[in-house]
This record gives sequence, structure tokens and C-alpha cells, in this order.
Amino acid sequence: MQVGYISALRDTIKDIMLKDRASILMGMNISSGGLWGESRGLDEYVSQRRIIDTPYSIPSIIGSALGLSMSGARPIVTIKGEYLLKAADVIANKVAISDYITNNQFSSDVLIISEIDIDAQKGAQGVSIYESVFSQIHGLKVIAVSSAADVRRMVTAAYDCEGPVLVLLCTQSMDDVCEENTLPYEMGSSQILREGEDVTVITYGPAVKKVLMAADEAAEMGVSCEVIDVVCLSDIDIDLIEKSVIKTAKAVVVHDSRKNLGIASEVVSKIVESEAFFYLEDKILRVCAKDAVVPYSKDEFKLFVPSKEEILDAIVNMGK
Amino acid sequence: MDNQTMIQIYYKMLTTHFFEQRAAMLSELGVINSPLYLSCGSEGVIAAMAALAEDDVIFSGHRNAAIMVGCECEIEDMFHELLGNAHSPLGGRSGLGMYSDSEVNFYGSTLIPSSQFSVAVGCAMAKKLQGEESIVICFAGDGATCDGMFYEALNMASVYELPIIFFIENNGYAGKMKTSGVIDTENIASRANGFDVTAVVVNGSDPMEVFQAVDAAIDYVLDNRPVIIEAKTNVVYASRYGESSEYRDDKDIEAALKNTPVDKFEKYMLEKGAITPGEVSVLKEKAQEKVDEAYDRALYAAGIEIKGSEVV
Repeated sequence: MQVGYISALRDTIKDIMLKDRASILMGMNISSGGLWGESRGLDEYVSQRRIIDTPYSIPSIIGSALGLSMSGARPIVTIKGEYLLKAADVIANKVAISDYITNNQFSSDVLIISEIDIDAQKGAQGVSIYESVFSQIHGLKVIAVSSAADVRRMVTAAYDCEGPVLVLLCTQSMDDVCEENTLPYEMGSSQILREGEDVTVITYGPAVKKVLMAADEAAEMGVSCEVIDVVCLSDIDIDLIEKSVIKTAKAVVVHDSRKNLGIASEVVSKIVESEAFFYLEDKILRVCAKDAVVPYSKDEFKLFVPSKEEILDAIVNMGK
Repeated sequence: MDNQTMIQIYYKMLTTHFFEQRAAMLSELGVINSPLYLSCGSEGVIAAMAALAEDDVIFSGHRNAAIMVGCECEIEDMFHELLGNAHSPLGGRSGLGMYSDSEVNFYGSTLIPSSQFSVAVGCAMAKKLQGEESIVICFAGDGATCDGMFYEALNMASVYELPIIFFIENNGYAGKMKTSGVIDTENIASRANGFDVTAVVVNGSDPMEVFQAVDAAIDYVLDNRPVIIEAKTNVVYASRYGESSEYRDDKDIEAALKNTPVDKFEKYMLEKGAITPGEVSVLKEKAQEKVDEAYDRALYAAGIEIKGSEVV
């Protein structure tokens, strides 16, 4: 079945809320369609008491979601990507540690839906590329949903699993329509998006589309890529990556967020620490955004994020 | 307030004192590394818990011993957490500063002042959604009201019409700073003015006043109208036990030590005939014994032996 990114999100939230009466959807603009259209028409199916508009009080939205969960409700919170860092303190110091410090006396099943948002003319404050910061917070699971195909299975898995989860949507994929993947998503797992023999390309989120295009072009040039979507950024599923790198002996890691201490740093470390290290035939390359303030201008932005050409260049030159 | 309730409050105030004396000793001996924020001087707030019903939920800040004793948390478990004993209900995971106990609806303390407000608001949202006839009371210090999250919580409580009491203990010091130097209002209760929130100011050293204020607020709060209760209290020792108290006048500390809320309450009860001198002695002995037994068991569990004032 063909699905749109946001319509899949909307339908998934609706289905969750119809099935579980303890669920609550809260966030800014929720009663007027939500941040991305995720709650449009929801009040036809779900009691308005469970669809809660919140003030622009980001830390307190997150804190109150924890209080709701401790009291037996199941909050789903939406936060605009550029405001997400405002939530970091409460996530790190309250939500993510709650299970541990209370020795599991209280539930902390808080589902936070936000976004990785990286584009030109958004400006330094208008983007959201802090997924590595949140992935550092122990006790929080972070997953990045790169495609409309995965929205339903990943949001459902995030809702169903215990403890707090941050789901990062990809703003630049929100208009996409594609065939839905109906297999259940196993929380924490990574996935192979394209099988190949010569080079393993590991990526996630907004860079996935570019990587797949680069892989198509590499194939035409006779280089076969295996593309892995990391998906779960907080606890990288190294097994799949390790197996793939043992097969291809080459690895490139790509993302649209900054290189310095980004997710790619952890992926590379994990490869180096694994058996795959002994099979490598070349150094591992990271193709990431520049370590700079995110530029506003379109021209400068082109230089900021890795282009498809840069990714292709890294792939085809591997092993040479 | 009936005599029985008064005696219960008095007993809990004594228990808090004896607990904190032991905790302070452990700190002085270097057995514990954790900072201690003693309730001594603000133990009058215990009376707030006497006004609550079984399903009401309590949140607290870092100055929490009196509140926890008020909630009837197990003294032994409090010692276990202070010592970080792994074989205890909380597994030595929270320390005293992040202590919680679902059995008595004590939903937790926090070391980050003001971070309890929003969680308490969420809990009150759940109570309203689930149609429960119970309330949330969220304790915090005066310093915590300087954080934006206090105002976010007041706004949310007000706009959602939540059953919540914000109980602010104003002990006159925010850390080592005089509150008057960092908060430009005589009564923090006046912060309610910008919201649809009612506020009262009470003498937090007087359990009778505290009890009456909370008791009176409950019916109002059950009607989904939030309330601020500002209790003027004292801090007897340094804000954080063991740290230099040079920022305070020695005379103030001496005076506070001679006239703690528990001493004052004892005098009041004796004058009122609510208790006899004989009963006072019995209660003191009983509270001391209860604390000491819990202390001994927790030390034993930690494998620590203390003889006199030395760790063996």
C-alpha cells in the first residue's frame, strides 16, 4: 500500500489512541491539526479531553508527560524540532532516569515525537540536528524515521516499548509517498535498505535518500553498495553493520548533521572495536555536515551538508 | 486539630530531628559523600501531610526529610538510600535527594530545584482526566521559584484548572544568598497574581497554621483551582549541611537552634494541655529508639560499624 509520511503518522496515532484509552496526545497546535498535520481530524475519533493543546512551555510539556505516565496515562508528546534542546534538561534529569532512580516504582512511558530538520533558508536556529546530544542520554531510546515506509511500524514499536522514546521524523521527507513496510519493527534494530557486495554505506534520517541515489549511480559505475539505515541512534545495532563490513571490507558513514562527535563517530568506533576491523581494506570515511554554524543562504548551505556527489565520490574511491 | 493529630505531628517532627542528627553524623564522619539539605527549621511543614487523604500525591524538592517522614516513608529505607545500600527497596539508586516511595504516594524528591513542578502538574492532569477525587501537593523552596518552570507550571495549572497545591517553603535563603537579594518581593505568594491561582502566606514554623492552610485549601483545590501556600520557615544549619555558614549571623543560628519548630510546638502543646511532660519524654524516647534501630540495621547492611564517633 502506498502511504504518505504524515498520513501514515496521523493514521498510526489515531489507531494507537483508539486502541489504548490511556493514551493522550499533547503538544502545541494539537487541536488545530498539530505541528505537521498529525492530529488533523483526530477529534472525530478521540475524545477532546485526550487531545491537549499545550502552551509554549517545552520543558514543562515533557515534565508533565512524565507526571501523566507516573499516574497511569500514556502521553504522546509532539515537539517542534528547533525547540527540542529546550527539553533536554528535563529529558536527561527527569524522564530518562526515572525508571532507575525510582527502581521501577513508576512508569516513564513517554513517547516524544520530534524531528530532524535540516534545510537551506531555515537558519541556525530553525534547524534541528541535535540527535547525537539526545542519543547520549542514557535511558532514552532515540530512533530516526527516514522514510514514509517506516512511519507506522516505527512509531507503533516506539509506543509499545517500555520507557521513554524520542522518535525523530525527517522534515525533508514529510511530503514523500511510498510503499509501506508492513513488517513489525523490532525496537533498537537497524535495517538493510539495499543489499550489495563492495562497500557498506551506513546512514540514517535525512541523508538516507541521498545515499540511496548515490548507490544507484555507483551501481551504474560498477560499485555495488550495501546501504544500512541505523534507525536506533541511542544504541547502535552493530551486529548488522559488522556482518556487512566483514562482507564488503569497506565502510562509509554518512549523515546530514555535524561531523564532530556526531553519530558517525560512534558508528566508526563500534566498527573499529568489532571483528569487522580485521577485514577492512581501507580507512573508514565519514561524510557528514561541516563543523560550522548552519548557514541560511542556499549557496552556503549546499557546501554545508554532504551532497550526493560527495557521497558517491567517497563510495567509488573506496579501496583505490 | 484533635490531640491525637497534634501528637502524631509532634512525633514525626521529633523523628525528623533524630533522623537528621544521624544523617549529619554520617556526613561528619565521612561515611556519606552526598550533600545534605536538612529540614531542621522547616519541620513544621510535616503538618501539611496530616491534612491529606490517602490518594493525594506528594512531590518534594531537595530539602525533603520532614516531608518524607510526614508521608510515612520508612526511616530504615531512608537510611539505606543515604548509604546507597544495594539491597534495599530503592536499590541505593536514588540517594536521599531523589528519594521516592509509591507505597505512600510520595512521587519523588529532586536535586534540581523546580524540576518537580511540571511532573506534579502532569500528575494533576492525570487526576483530572481520570476523574479522581484527590489532589497533588508539590513542595519546593523559595529559590526554585526563580526558575521559569515554576511559572510554566503555574500557567499550566491555571489554564487546565488543576487540583494542585504549590507549597513553597520560604526559609529566607536561596543557596547561600539571602532570598531578599535575589527575589524582589516580600511574599512569593504574590507570584500567583499573574495567574488564576489563589495564594496564602502562613507561618511554616507553626504546624497548626500549616495544617489549617492545607486543610482549608483542599476543598478549593478539589474544585480544580490551584493554590500557592507560602510557608515562612527557617533554615537552622547552613543551606547545605557542612558547608561554611559564614554568610549567616552566628547569633541567628544559635537563636534558631534554641527555638526550633519542634521545641515551640512542644511548648505550645504542653501549655494547651494537649500533652503531658511524661508523654513528651515517652515520645522522645520512642522516636529516638525507632530512628536508632533503623540506623543500626542500615549500617549493618552497609557493613559499616561505628563506635563512639569513629568508623571501625
